[in-house]
Amino acid sequence: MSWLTIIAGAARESASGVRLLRQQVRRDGRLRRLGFYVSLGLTLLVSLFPFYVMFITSISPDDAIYANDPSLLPEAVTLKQYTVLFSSETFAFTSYFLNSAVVAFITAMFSLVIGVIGAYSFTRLEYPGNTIIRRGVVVVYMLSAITVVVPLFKLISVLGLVDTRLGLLITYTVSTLPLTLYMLWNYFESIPVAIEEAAMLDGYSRVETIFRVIVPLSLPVLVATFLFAFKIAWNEYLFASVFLKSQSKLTLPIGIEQMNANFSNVWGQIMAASFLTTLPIIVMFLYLEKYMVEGLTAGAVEG
Amino acid sequence: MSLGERLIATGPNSYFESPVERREALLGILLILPAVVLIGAVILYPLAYNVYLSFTDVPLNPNQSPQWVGLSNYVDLLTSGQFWSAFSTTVLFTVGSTVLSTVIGLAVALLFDRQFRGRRLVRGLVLLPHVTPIIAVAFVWQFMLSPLWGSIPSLLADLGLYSSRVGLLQRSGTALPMVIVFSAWRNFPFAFLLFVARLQAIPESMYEAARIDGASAIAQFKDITLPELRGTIAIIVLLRGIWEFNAFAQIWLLTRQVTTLPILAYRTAFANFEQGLGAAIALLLFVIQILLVIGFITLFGEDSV
Amino acid sequence: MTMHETDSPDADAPEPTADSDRTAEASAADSEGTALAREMTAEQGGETVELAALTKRYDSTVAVDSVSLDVAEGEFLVLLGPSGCGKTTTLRMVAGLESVTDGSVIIGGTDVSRTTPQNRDVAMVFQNYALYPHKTVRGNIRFPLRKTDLSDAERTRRIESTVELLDIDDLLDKEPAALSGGQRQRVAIARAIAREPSVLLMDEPLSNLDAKLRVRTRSELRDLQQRLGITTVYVTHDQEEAMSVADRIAIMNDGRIEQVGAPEEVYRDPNSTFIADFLGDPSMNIVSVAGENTAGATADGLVAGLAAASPDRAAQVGIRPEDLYLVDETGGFVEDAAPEAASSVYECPLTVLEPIGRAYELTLEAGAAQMVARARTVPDELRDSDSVRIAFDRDAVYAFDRNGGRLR
Repeated sequence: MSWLTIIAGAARESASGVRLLRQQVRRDGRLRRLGFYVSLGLTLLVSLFPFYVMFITSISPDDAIYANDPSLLPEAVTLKQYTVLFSSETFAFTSYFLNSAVVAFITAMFSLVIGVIGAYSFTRLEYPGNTIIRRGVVVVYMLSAITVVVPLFKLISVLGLVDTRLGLLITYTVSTLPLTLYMLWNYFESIPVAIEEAAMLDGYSRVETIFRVIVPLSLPVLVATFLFAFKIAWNEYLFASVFLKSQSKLTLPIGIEQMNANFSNVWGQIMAASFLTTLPIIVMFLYLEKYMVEGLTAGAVEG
Repeated sequence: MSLGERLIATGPNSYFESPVERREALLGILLILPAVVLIGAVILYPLAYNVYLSFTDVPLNPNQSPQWVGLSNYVDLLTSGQFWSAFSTTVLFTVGSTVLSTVIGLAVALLFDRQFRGRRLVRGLVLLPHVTPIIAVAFVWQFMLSPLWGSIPSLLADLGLYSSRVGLLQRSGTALPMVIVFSAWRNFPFAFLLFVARLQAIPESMYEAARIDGASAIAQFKDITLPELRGTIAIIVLLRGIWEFNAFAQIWLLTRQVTTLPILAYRTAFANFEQGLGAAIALLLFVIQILLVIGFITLFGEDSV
Repeated sequence: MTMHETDSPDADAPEPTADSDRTAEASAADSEGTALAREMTAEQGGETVELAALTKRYDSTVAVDSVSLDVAEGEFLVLLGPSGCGKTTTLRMVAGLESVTDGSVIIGGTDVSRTTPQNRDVAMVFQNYALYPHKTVRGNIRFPLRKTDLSDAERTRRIESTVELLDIDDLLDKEPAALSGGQRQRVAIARAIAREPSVLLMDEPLSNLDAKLRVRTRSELRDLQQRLGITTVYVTHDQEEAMSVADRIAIMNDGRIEQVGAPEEVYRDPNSTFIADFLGDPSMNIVSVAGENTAGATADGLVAGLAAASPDRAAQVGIRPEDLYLVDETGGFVEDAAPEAASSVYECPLTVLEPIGRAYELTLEAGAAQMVARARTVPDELRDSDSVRIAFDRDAVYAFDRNGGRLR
């Protein structure tokens, strides 16, 4: 319902367009403004409503959640869902959270280091095959996890890496690499070559130039790249669901899914867990919105 | 002429003009090596291995080697109704969610194509559905749509539009539209962002010129905005198309009632432990996708991508 | 037939001729220059640079074709030429930024053709300055010093003396983004000279400055180089700039050096029509005279007169605009300065009379050719006239053969 409303509203708005606003008569303009704010409000409502539900449910007591007539406003506020999540023996939430944090952090580090030297290599150094690699990055970027998950699982089992963090780390590093390489490549291309040439004439070798000129110069992009790799690893579900077996190693997505599968009517805890899973990403995103937007538009990420 | 062509033309000895050039090339290879090795081992090798696996029967015991069965996996697949129904579900899902997320993304982008207070903050908020973990939003949607406790069914019931006690996600007839709506909700910000960036690049002078010529708002949209957005639309449709075609988690975590090809592959390989058959599905998925990309590029021209 | 080119590469430069602005600048340089002189502590000196049959080929095209050149210690040598002539590639080969296809670069007697830039002890000022945007001015100047074996105290002292020399001491803690174009340019020079390299390379260092600042800076540059005594190779396409800073100019065309010599020398004594045409603004009038001598006085007038003043073999003759003189009704010269070997007087149709600041440019028709004359003053009656009486300096006529080579 609300979807239709918003599409209709936005379409009506866009058809008239802001650019005409100025030359309209004032009353018409006021009506348009109203239409604009209504459309904007609806867009926000639709975008954020699920997050609202998530948060409200996570701070509601069970009897409010499972009431016959669900209400959109909390009648009572409680932190019980969160305390259960952290104290209960049945949910290993703390361990899921830590596992995810460790895996995502190390993945992002790996991806960044390999990405920086790799992207520098094919943007700036000439050797046979660098153009093929450049194109390959774009092609590999379009591949999806599902295409390789079966053989990769075989491979991981043969190597004895099933149910290890290492298996997950390698897989995640590689799945973030195409994006990392692509984002860094875009940025490195924008740095004038003369700056590197100046450094080399100033007595620095190529490798020193990378780490003492290019890296400090690219700091904002490196942060954005790191966050993107972190986010991909933090959100990943498919590989983790196939590779991980033991409770103590599960990451958040798998952990929460198991909570849902193994217990019924634990919505309060699931929403609390979901909220805690979402929170780091939201904080990161709102705080570094500018870089994240750059990353999204540069690499066009699959979330 | 690239270095590679020079190598062919002159042979390896006179390939590099100086030891410096050779050292730079060696450094370049050294620096790209970790990335190439990792991508090769974790993406390219599995891709090739997948081809082999798809012609085999993979035993449960990882220590036993796969049995060559020739084309039988493919024959089984192509003659099974399950595969073809999954295929058509995949196409419906891909087209539905791609079109919906692109159209909504465009509409919201047009809404944002102006100055207003708090624009950046609002833009950041609109992007949230796309950047937050799939697991979290999938469960909220499950909860919101659950027939007993969900706010949406109760709202629909209040409006008299919905009375069934069977959940929207539990009935196969309504599950697919719900998954499409969820997918569009999650991914419209992606299209929105690319459209906003492109819209900002359209020079205001074009609209001014059109206004002087007396073009209506609709004519301006049709004759200026839309043609300027052509390339962006093409790239969004291509990327979203590819990703929706391969989408797994965003369907799997919401409902088990919708079986697309990726889900069929996953179930076959990891629930029924028929990994050879799963590999065959994954490979077909890959081939279909390549064909779609080639078709798309020939249709829209390489320059737009 | 060589037509006069109306748009010269640096039409926006305010000073019209090369030799007149040398003196103008010398006085302008004095005020700034003496201030710099007082700051100077020691002469840096420099090394010789020798290019031996230096060649750069990209696949099938030859960018630099067997260039040989000796630059003396402390010399200011300018590589001058139109864009695409290979001057920048030559400079980059000296720096080590471009590999050498053939031939060698010898600095201070050592062949450095196969070494990396960091081992050559050369410094470079880039066209866009290439300052490190994330470092302050101090950080930029310190960066190359960190690769020297100076002590920290010495480095600091070196930074201080360099910034004083360039009068940028108040900018030390700013970042490049906060500086004006002229200030960035100074910082780039400071970074280049602070570590006292044996050779200083400059690639169009003034091209991003506005016209006025460019003229002022080039005299400062010249002054600085003189005081430091550092061997300098400087690339520009601006002939005026080259004339005003160089000890010697090497003019390049199509990957080759056409002529090397002191500014006066290449201007007064060009080897070819290319150089004659390239130097001077407006450039030399060059007309084809093939046949004029043998056919007698068929085409009387200016061209025939020029042909008569040059050897019989001449296929083309040239005369600089300032060597054409206006003659009044009485046969006297309009200006006081008269040539020693004045030719007879010719009447030419006048097509354009254009004031260019302190002088006038007159476009004349001489047979089928167009010629440009320059005059300080123009009689009032000429303004409405459609013809002009002109004489030339017979000693100032240049003769060239069919291929554009100079006949002496």
